Amino acid sequence: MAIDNQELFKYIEKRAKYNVKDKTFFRNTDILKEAFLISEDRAYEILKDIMSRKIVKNTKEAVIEEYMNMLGSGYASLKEQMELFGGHKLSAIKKEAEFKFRKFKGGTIIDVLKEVYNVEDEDIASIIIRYMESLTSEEFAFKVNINTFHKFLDKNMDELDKQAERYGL
Amino acid sequence: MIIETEDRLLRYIEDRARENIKGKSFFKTTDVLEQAFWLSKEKSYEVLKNIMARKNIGNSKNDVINEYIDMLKKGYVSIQEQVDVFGGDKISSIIHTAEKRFKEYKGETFFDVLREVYKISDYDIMHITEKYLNFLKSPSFVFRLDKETFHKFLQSDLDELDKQFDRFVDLQ
Repeated sequence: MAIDNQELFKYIEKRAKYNVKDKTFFRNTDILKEAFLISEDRAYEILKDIMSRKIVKNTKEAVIEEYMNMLGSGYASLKEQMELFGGHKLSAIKKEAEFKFRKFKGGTIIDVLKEVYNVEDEDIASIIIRYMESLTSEEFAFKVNINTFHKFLDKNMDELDKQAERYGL
Repeated sequence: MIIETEDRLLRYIEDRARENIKGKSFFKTTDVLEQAFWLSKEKSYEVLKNIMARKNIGNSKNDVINEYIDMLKKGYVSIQEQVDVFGGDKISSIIHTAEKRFKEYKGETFFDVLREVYKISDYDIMHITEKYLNFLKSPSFVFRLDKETFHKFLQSDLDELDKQFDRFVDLQ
């Protein structure tokens, strides 16, 4: 699967926001460190660079937005930032799932989760509930399939991370 | 009665009869008939006499049930009457009520469907979801959660069929 820059950009933004969700920070460098998983030194360097050009607000949103702008205009490579985040997890998951589906002999959705996605017994109920809740329809017609499941993982960073762990990615 | 309905009801009678005697053992053939088809003692004797006048059947539960189903097929008793003995054509009445309730439905998720249309309590919801998902099989990762498969699931599970029937009866 080819991932274009725009897709990478969106993923980085989502991941950065997820990384600082529900956390409070005193310093802008701490926001940069936590959001983008960068070193203290690197965070200071970026902040200095920002302050020499403009004034950003002291909020998580403003700091993340500013660094995203910088990434967008080539300040650092998107690929390198992705690597800091452990790579593009969804595409790695898709690849691994595709490989495991080749050995899958059919069965129920629970068999799919256990055999293809390596979901442990104790996680089955909670993942099914969350997945089902992510599917909406005006009538009684829900598509439970590989596409909607990967969309569900894409929308839920914590489930995405858990799935990456299940695959040892 | 159109043939399709007749076939479906015959299958329903057979499923119900087998379910009624599942895990039980019997000494007398009439007892099998009584329990499987909810016949009276007198009626069971009458049926058995009728069978023995025509042929020898084995003494097993299956033989007795198969023979009576065959008699139903041939018109010995009305299929509709036997269905009524079992409390009516439950799946048809469930489908009918569900259709009416879907017209007012404004939910979003699968669980909303179960709660709002089928009136399934929070207590039952996970259990029925698990059973339903276990009923759906696919050679790959392609499942459709919809009315059709849900009603098929209810037909395949008489226990859940009865429970769903009761949920809708309680509404009236």
